[in-house]
Amino acid sequence: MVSRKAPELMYAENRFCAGCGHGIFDRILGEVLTEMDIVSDTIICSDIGCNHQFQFCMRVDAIVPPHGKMGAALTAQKRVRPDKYALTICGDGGAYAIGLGETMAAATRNENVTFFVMNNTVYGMTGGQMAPTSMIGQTTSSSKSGRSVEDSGENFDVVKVMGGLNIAYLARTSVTNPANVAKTKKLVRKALEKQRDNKGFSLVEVLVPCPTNWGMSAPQSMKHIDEVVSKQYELGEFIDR
Amino acid sequence: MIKSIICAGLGGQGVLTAGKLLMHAAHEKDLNVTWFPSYGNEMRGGNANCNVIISDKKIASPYADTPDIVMAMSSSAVDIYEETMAPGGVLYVNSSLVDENRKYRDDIRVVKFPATEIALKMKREVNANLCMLGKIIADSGLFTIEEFEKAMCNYFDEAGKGKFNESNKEVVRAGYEN
Amino acid sequence: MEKRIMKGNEALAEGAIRGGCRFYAGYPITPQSEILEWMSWRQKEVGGTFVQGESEIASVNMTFAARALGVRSLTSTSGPGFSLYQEGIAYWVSAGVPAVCACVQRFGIGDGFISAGQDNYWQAVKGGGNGDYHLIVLAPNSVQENVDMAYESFALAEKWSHPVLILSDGTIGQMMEPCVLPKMVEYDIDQEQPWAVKGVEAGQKNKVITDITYFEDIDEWNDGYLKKMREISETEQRWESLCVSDADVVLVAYGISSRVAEGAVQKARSNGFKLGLIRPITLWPYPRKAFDEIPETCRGIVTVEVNMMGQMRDDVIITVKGKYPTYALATRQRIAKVDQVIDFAKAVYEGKIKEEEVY
Repeated sequence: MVSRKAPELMYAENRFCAGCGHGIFDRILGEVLTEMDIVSDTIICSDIGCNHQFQFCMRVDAIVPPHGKMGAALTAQKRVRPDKYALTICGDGGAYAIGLGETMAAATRNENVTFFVMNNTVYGMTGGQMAPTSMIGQTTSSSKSGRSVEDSGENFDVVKVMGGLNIAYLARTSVTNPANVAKTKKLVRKALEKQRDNKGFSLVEVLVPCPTNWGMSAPQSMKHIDEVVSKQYELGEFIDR
Repeated sequence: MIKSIICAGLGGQGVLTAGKLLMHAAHEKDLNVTWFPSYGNEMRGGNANCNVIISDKKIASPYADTPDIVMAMSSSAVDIYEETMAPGGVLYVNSSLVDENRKYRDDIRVVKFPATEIALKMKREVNANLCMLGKIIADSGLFTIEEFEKAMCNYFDEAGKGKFNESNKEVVRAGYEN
Repeated sequence: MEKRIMKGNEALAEGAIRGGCRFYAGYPITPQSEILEWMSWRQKEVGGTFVQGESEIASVNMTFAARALGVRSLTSTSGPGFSLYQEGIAYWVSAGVPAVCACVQRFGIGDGFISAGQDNYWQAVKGGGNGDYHLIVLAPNSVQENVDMAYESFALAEKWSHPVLILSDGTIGQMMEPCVLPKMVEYDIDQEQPWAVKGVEAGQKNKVITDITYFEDIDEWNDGYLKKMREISETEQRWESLCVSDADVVLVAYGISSRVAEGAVQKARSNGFKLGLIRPITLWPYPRKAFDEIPETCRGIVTVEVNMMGQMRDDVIITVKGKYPTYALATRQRIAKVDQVIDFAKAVYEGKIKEEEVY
């Protein structure tokens, strides 16, 4: 369960749009780091995009490499400081488009690092353009008549792509209601425990709402995830070694 | 004193190693020395070469623009480097593999030596480079045979190939004495 | 101290190791792969980290991360790899991360060739990535300088919280020469470093290694940054001068070209032709002070470069401000020969060569 008092490392109100899922995730992560008592042992690798605004509400040491290069940066982080947790809060564009090479390379090497990928099916910060995770038929500011397979190929499903890799942990979750938030918190902790136990690469994809770019209210966005997005992107734990 | 040397031949003839051995012998004599090889694609065409500069003063350019000594292990090596040589330079030709009727410049000295044949007779064909070096040492007086052999053995020891030192010395001696 | 024979690239790698480098990431590319190969076993020996990155882009960003966690870190590349590094290096600059890069130049545009070149000059000294910056650029011209510059590069970068680039070339990297290796330095990654993160207790002030203007007043930071860059450009100029004060023609060359130019000066002088040489050791800051020594009577300044457009001539023009005519002996993909340099300089002396506009 999410406790009511914000953990000590959350030092300011977040700057996300009303109804955005990033803020919910950051709070979950803040609580998990606090409960595991690993705040001072954590160095977050930021992506660039909406996700990087965790920097303005959480006091955790962090580094910011170029957009998408978390797989490379985390690899180096963990290798030079194996006693610190190396994790990233990143976007679907960063992890699966511009940084796909680095993400996959880190996964195929089974680096002992953790990815938390916020999948909101669009590029949020730049104004809601089509992302690798935009669904077929989804209207975005760069696919105005809906994403087509013909123009843009199939949408990216990390479970299909990483499902066969020898990694430690792969899961997908959402934050649409208190039960899902609690579940997400559990999976986030599990991923970090994999890292603690030197099991290797872990990735948790979180389906998060983007009311601003979806043109929906916050409640409508949550409903959209439950009724549409999570039908396309199945929730669950897919690899657990 | 400054000597500009080019060791040239076909890939696999050990010309880069030959140049390195000269470099190490010079280094052990406390002379200044540089070694620069052909590399990568250049080598794929089949030709290999290295430039060795030996001097008792500081060495400026590591390139032998106008070599004083050319060790030519193949016909193509003669084709490429004879014309670049300084007047009065010495061209050591591996006569086992170069046409015996070939004409040369008359302002250089040409030493024809059947390095491959001699090495072959000793069942050491791959060491024709060492055989030729023996000849060059004897003819040029760059080093005494003892200086050269010591440097060579040290070099191969460090490269983990010291077990061939005795037989290598035999091939060098065969070049030196013929 | 004992001299040992080493290949330029290996010497650069060992110099870095002895300077306290305990992280290296890189991707194979000729003519610098020996640096990567050396690091692959040597880092293990000294308890450091070696990663063969999946690309140059990964490698430059691994280097960023390792340095941002405190470790003295090096990466190396050449030609097209260096182009891929530019984004990453701009991030190093914006975050004040004192990582070190070595670029062993090869010739050509795009893929290019693997033979030595000096045509990364503009990219290396004029920025290369987005935004206002120069890297501190060191230009070794011997195997010994490969050792020494790699050795001191980390302290130099840390002194200014600014990246250092070692701009070598295929010949300096591939050639062998005797050199002396310095004493091993151990660098404590737990010491106080403004550019590094180590983790922070909940509620304490944290650090984010990123574009510094995110967390500081942008105008104040810009002022400080400009002051720093001006100070570097005043205090870090390094060069070597040879027979400049009475020269009729002055050569300007760095790296392998400076070795050839030095040969030309020696040979020309022995034949009574008063040739001089300025060898920039730092390419940024450009050693402008070196040009004060050139006599009024000098008839021209000639850069000797392994490229097509005479890239360094731009900096000579900026430096001499029209006081002397300037020329470039830009020998494309071939290294100039000593006689070729002398012939060109003679033609300049005799007024036979027309000064050209820069490209």
